[in-house]
Order: sequence, then structure tokens, then C-alpha cells
Amino acid sequence: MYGLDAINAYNGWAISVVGVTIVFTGLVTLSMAISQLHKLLDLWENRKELSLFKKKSPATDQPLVAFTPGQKESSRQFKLLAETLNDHFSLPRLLKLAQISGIDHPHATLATLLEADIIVSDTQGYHVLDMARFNTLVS
Amino acid sequence: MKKAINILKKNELFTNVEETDLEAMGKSLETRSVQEGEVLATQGDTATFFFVLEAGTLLVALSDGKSAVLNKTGDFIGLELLSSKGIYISTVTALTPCEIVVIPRKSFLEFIQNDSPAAASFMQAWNSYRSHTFPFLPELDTPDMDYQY
Repeated sequence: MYGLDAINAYNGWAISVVGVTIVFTGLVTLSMAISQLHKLLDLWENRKELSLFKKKSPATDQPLVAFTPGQKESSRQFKLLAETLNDHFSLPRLLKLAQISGIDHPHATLATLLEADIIVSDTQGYHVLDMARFNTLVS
Repeated sequence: MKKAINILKKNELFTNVEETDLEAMGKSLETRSVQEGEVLATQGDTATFFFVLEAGTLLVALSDGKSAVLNKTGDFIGLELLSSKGIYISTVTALTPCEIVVIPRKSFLEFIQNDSPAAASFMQAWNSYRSHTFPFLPELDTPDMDYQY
């Protein structure tokens, strides 16, 4: 028995369909895996930014910004200057006053007060002094 | 150049800008270290550069006493926040030691004035960023951006 008769007799058609399906499925899977490879590479390149690999900082109520005695003194002087201005004051004006007054490191002190959210934006271009936070962190 | 481009990519403004456009712009980028109290731009001077913050804190002082504090990596200091008609309209001062990317204003304006999807995408992102980060900036409505900025 030869030819198509032999194929029919020994399930040749079914076997060939299964074979084609296996190969096709394998190729589709492979192409999908390759198409997503860039995402894996991006993950690997930016692995330091993944929360999984980041060192967890201990949850605490302690303020993140710690003031040195010198910074506390400068901050008190900043507060006095801010009180001479309006409630919603101009930050460049406050900085200028601090420079004129001879406060140590006026720029760095202002940056620290901003970082500690003691001086906060009113979203309209001016800033306000958070007295409660000042008393907690500086006084 | 690669470092400067990576900094740009951290900003939402540049996320939709094609790598090739960034690389084209990257040729004119340079990174610079500035000290506490150093002034990067002075109101009234000829506007030559825009800035992108990598690290540190910058104070952008506008007219009438208004100001913005920028301290996030990728923060962009340019366009109507910084200049108008080729003149700086604000003074930029470093409050802490900073690392910044300096972009020549002329080459940046050439990029956004290109009639390209990247430029359109950038301007759309900038308008959104500007309105939520600097809501106090006046709205400008002029098609002649080179003249305006």
C-alpha cells in the first residue's frame, strides 16, 4: 500500500495537522516572547528603581528633615523676617531680606524650610509659613 | 550627552519625544554644576539658555514677587516660565548645590517650532505641566513662539 491510501490508513492526515499545529504554536510563542523582550530589558536596566529591590526605609513619625542648632537659629530669624511680611509673602523678597540681614547660609536655610514644609506654596506664586510645623520642628 | 538625555527622559514633558529627536537635541546639551546662591539667569538679560534640573533646588523668581521652587529631577525651566521675546523674565537662583542640564534656547525653540508630532506632543505636555505646576503663570496665546519666548 502506497501513496494516499497509506496516509489514510495510518492517520497521516491527523499526524500532519498535529505536527503543523505544534510547529505553528511554537513559532507564535517564540515570536511573542521576542516581541516582549524589550520590556524585560527595560526592567533589568531600571532595576534600581523597582520597589522590589529598593531598601525599605523604616516607617516612622520622625521628621525627615533634621535641623542642626545653627539651622534652627537661622530658621528662627527667617520666621521673624516672614512675620514682617504679609501672610502670603514673596519668597524672593524673604530671601533678599535674609541676605540683607546677614543670616548664615540664607539659600540653604530657605531650601531646608521648604523641604521641611515649614514654608509652603499657596499655589498662586506666593508662600505661607506653617507655624504649627515650625513649632514642631524648630522650636 | 547620554546622561543629559536620560535626565530629559525623566520628565513627563519629554516622554513622548522620539529618541532620535532627543539625540538631535542632545548634541547641544551640556551638564553643569552650580553652587548654593549662584544665579543661573537674571531677569532682563538676553535669554540664551533653558534648564532642566537633575538634582538640587532652584528658585525661579518672577515679576511681582511671585516665584516657583523646583526640586524634582527633570523639572524644566524654560518657555514662558523663563523668557519672553528673547529676554529673561525671571531670575533663577540655586538654593542648594545643583546639577543641571543646559539647553541653548535657540536650538530648543527650533525643536518645538518644527512641524513634527514630537514638537506638538511636547507643547501639549508643557501646557498641561505648566497649568498644574505653575497655575499663576499668565496664559499666552500667540502662534509666534520665537517672538514670544
